[in-house]
Amino acid sequence: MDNVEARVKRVTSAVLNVPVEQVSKESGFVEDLHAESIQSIELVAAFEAEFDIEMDEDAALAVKTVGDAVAFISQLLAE
Amino acid sequence: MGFFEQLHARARQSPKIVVLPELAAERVKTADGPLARAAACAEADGLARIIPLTTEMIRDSGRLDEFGEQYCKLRGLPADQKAMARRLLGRPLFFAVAMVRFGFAHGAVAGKYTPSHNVVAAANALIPFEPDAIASAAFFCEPPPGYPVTKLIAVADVVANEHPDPEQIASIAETTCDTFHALSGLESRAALLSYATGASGRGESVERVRAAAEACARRGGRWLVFGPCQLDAAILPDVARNKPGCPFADAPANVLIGPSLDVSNNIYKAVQWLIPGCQTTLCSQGLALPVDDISRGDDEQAITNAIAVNVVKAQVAEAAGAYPAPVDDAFLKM
Repeated sequence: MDNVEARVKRVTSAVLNVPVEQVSKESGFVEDLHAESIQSIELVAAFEAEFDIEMDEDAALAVKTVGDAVAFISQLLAE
Repeated sequence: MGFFEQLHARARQSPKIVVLPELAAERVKTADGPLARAAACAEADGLARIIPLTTEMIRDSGRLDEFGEQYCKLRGLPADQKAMARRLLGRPLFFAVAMVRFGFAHGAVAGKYTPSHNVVAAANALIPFEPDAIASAAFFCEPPPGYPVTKLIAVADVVANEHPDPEQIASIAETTCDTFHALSGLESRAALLSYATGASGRGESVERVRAAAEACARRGGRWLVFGPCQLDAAILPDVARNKPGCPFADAPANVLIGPSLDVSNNIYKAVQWLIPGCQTTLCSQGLALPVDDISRGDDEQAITNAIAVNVVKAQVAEAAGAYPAPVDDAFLKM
């Protein structure tokens, strides 16, 4: 789980161009990290590339925080 | 000849290559959905040559890495984002828009099975904007012959800008007037809608619309734009005559610009569903190349109309030199 969390934070930092220290589990992608529409879609693609998974786009875009993304991806990896 | 009949005739004069990225997704549900029927109709009527894009075509094209690299360049992304871009461009919507951007289709039509904000985001990321324009969308409605109020009306912005400021409203008005004229050949007459007309009425919303009218005047556009204006004063000359300063007493407005997405979107839905027998289409605006968003509720006829709009916009873009090179038809042969 920690590994997933670290990788989610690193990907989020790279796509949204914010220092990784500013990315916490509580960070909201839009509210706190100011993701634009296109960046939200890029984040889903970046998570897919990082974890080699396929994500349902509508479900993935409904995820609001970094912590929720960690849980969402962890569940996909466990399936 | 009515507006849509004329539009289809124009498309037939020089049909273009249009990519539909959602046909494969529709086929998973049904073999004979509205998108498939519209695509068949557009090809049979000679409006367009349709590319029914699939993930297999994307894979077999060998263009994914190239498009991914180009995407990173356009978005100013570092090299470590190439894997992300490759995944993104592997999605039919993004690949289709990239095909328009990089010369493998004249236009793209999507949105039947994809949220509008995704279509808008893909288009905004890949397609350059027209000068001084912002992304927006107009709804066109042609009531059946004999309808007493209007022959053709356009409403904007019905998709993209939730709470536009005065400058944005002015930009949307100007762009919609240009689109209306380009597609219909008619003189555009725009009303900036509010709950008050002319100098009457106070409040944040009406003041914002008043400022938008002033911004239109400063821009010095070629079209008549008047606001604030109530809907009935815009489209009913008898009402306009009783509103001091309202210019629609002799000829009603044919372009309606809402003060917010709430207003414009619901006017469009009301018009679409409350005028029996009307023909409609959505038309994206502000982009240099045609990528058109359609609605989940669109039927075969509305989608066919959107394809015709896409082709006519491609003809206009081609005449303006917006395509850097002749469009490659390689995907039609796959």
